[in-house]
Amino acid sequence: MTWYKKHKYILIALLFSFLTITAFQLLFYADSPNAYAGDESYLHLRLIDSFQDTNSYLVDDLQDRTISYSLTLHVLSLLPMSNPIYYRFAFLLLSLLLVFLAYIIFKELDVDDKTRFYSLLLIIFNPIYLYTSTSINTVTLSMVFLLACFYFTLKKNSIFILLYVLALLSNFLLTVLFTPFLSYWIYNKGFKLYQNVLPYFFAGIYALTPLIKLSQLLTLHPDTFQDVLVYFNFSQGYSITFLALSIVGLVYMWRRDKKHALLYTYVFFLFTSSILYSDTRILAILLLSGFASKALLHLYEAKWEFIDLKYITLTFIVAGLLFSSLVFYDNEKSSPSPELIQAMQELESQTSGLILSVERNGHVLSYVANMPVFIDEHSYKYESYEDKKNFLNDVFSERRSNPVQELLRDAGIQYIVIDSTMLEGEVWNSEREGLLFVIRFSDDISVLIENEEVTVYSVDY
Amino acid sequence: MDTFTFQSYEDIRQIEHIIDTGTPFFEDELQQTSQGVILSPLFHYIITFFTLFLGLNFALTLIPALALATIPVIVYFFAKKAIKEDLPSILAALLTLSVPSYFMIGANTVSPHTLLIPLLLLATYFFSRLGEGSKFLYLALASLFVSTFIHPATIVLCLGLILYLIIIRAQNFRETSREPEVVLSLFFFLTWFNLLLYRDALSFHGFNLLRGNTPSSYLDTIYPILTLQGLIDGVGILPLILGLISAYLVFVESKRKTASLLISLILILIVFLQLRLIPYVLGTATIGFFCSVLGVYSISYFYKKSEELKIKYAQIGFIVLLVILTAGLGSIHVEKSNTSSMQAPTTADVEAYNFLQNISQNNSVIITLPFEANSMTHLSGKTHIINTNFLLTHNANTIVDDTQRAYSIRFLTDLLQITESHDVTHILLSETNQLRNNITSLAIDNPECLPLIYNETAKIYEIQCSLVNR
Repeated sequence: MTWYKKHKYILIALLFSFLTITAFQLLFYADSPNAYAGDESYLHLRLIDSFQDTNSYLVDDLQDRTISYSLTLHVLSLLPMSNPIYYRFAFLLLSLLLVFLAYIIFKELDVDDKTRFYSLLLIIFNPIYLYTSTSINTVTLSMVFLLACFYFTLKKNSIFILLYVLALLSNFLLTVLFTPFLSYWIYNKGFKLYQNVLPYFFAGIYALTPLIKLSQLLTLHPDTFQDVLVYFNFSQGYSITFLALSIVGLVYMWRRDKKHALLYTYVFFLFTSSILYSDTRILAILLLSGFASKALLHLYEAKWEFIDLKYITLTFIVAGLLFSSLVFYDNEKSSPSPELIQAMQELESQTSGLILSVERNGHVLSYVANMPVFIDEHSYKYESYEDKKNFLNDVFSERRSNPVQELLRDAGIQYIVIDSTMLEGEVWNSEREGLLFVIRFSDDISVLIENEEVTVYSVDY
Repeated sequence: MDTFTFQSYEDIRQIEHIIDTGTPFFEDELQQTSQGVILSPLFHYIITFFTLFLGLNFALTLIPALALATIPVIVYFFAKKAIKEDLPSILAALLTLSVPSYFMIGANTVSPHTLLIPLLLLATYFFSRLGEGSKFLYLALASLFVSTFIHPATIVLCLGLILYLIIIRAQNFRETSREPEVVLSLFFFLTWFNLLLYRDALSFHGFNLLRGNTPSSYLDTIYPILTLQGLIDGVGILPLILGLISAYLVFVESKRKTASLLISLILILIVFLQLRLIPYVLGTATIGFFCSVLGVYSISYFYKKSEELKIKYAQIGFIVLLVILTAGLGSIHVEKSNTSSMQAPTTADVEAYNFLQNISQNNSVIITLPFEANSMTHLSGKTHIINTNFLLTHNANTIVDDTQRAYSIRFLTDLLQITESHDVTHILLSETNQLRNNITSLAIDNPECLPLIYNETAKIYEIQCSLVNR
């Protein structure tokens, strides 16, 4: 049988996913070439630019803080990309490679054709996979290295060690959580003991170097449990339908075959970690997709007493899976708005100064305006986070001019950015609340840039 | 027009809108702080349908009451299915009258809960008879899907059914293949439908959606911490005791599949009440009715035991005792719910609303407490700040605190900060508010800025100052 006939499912899946993702990308990014999926993309783009200028990979110059090393960002900073939009295609290709690697690994593990095919479909339409393929993140390259590492482990090729180290340099947390699983297979495939110890050794050594800021990596986001599901406006969230299918698949497999208890334990452990650390979710869905596809196949092939109910149920399952993909695109489409981008592009030409706005705008503002922001979505990793949150509450709710001026002066705020979401209940419910009241009657805070959605104020001292 | 409970007016406004325009409203123009209304309008359309024949007032009074009145009937058939005896089943149906939450839902309430609870009972009953023919399969599916369209609490039933499947597998009961099929279909349908319906609310509120974004000041009222006393007060001592005895009998003496189903559902409801994820009245009422059905096992047991006693008329005595206890407890609950003067607007409140209606000022915004906001808006046509539907309202905590503080605040500047941030023009101090909070007037006495324009039992103040002018 020719190769393409033998692998026709994977080819169809790859082609389909490529067309789907690129079509969506082109469609909804078409009118805003500067808009990227995920706020984190803006942070990484800014860091790539910064690395190109300063050659310092452990410092976020603009925000004046230290960061952990990332091989992904280092490599991207070395690539001659004239337009940042090309990074998007690089991640798209990497994510397709991810799917291909998942396929050949399933094949290596003797997973049957149909399960493999459905697993790939469940992966491709998963919001977490869509996120890794459409955003500029530190997870995708790491996953490629990890899956390649796993594949070569299965092939009993020692090159897996090199790939493991590369994965470690790309994303430390993800790689460390994958290590027990890898270690099990290293042992099963008959490698020598020292080869099993090496991954732990490298991870341990790396953790002790100044390249990794463990305290930052392990700090949980204050809204940790609010980002578990994609419906909570978080692009790297799980889909309930996918999770339900995974549970059904796990129970089904457990009942049929109890000898892989260790695997089920690891899956449970990984899923629990992924609730706390969103970077590990792509790994979790790759594993869970196997079980989810088993569940889907079992539901489809089982003999139901009420056959119409079977098709109705399968329809709702597919509807649920597609719905979560649509929710992902809905989340991405709504943030950030072209008006915010446009206002920040205008602000870029002004004198550099500290910008005050809500946390969610932080990365976009700092990237487009090329100015430091008071608080962004990574501020929680640093010690001053609680103080900054309290400051925001105080400033936004204060109606008296003098205290507001004092607060702004002490923090060194030069610009205030207010968008429509902040006015529609996120911060204020009416035009005369808190800081809005002060701005109305203050001579020291004046409008600098204004459009339909965003107003930028300049603070004079 | 008769007055209904405060909570009813939210649904009455929707029903009237459907009568006028054919659709419910998804943007509340008479609420200052809402970003939209999320609604599953099947209940409202059903009531609207009956208004075609019965008239609005009669339909609003009769249909929910009729729906609630079917509960003892459903309990009777359910109990008869479980035990196949007439007399204990009748006594089990009678037991529903000693569930206090039954009366808390009560007369003059227009709420989807009044239709939801009978539907959940019906769905459970049909589910328990799945193995007896495809007729019950269709009926179970129909009642489950209809209840999904009425209220998302059907999720609790679904989770209870999943627990039931686990329990019967553990107890090695013979399960029909229909049961897992129905549960799977229901789960995926519920998931998809509720995610679709609550999409905006989920992205707005995240996990706070599970408690309806209820502010902390209202949390203890709607979702109180569950204690044993609270459980007894809601479920009723008699159904609870008989239910517990039945659970013991079923697990120790003879295993029964129907009992396992009821116990699973009761357990899930208790867990949800404990986690404060289901309103207290809805949760305890449903537990009470399931306990009434479950209680049939213990009623039957004691009835048979009384036969064995060598006491003349022991059986009749048992029946009479049960009836007296049930009726006695039931009448206490009826009395409690009748004497509670704070569930519906009083006559003085309605007169104040009528006065507000005649205020000619455009864009009047009235401060009221959230529980009376919908009744005020419905009867006066004026805008309120916030009502008890907290979905899609940002900063609900702050806004509710503002409305509550407005009545007790002592400094005019602070009050004007609140009123200006919400564009308030009048403050209503209703009789119900006065009784609940033990006040007779606003804490601020400033006739220049806050003239009393209506001074009966209820009071209405007009805001005539602003912070800028001062």
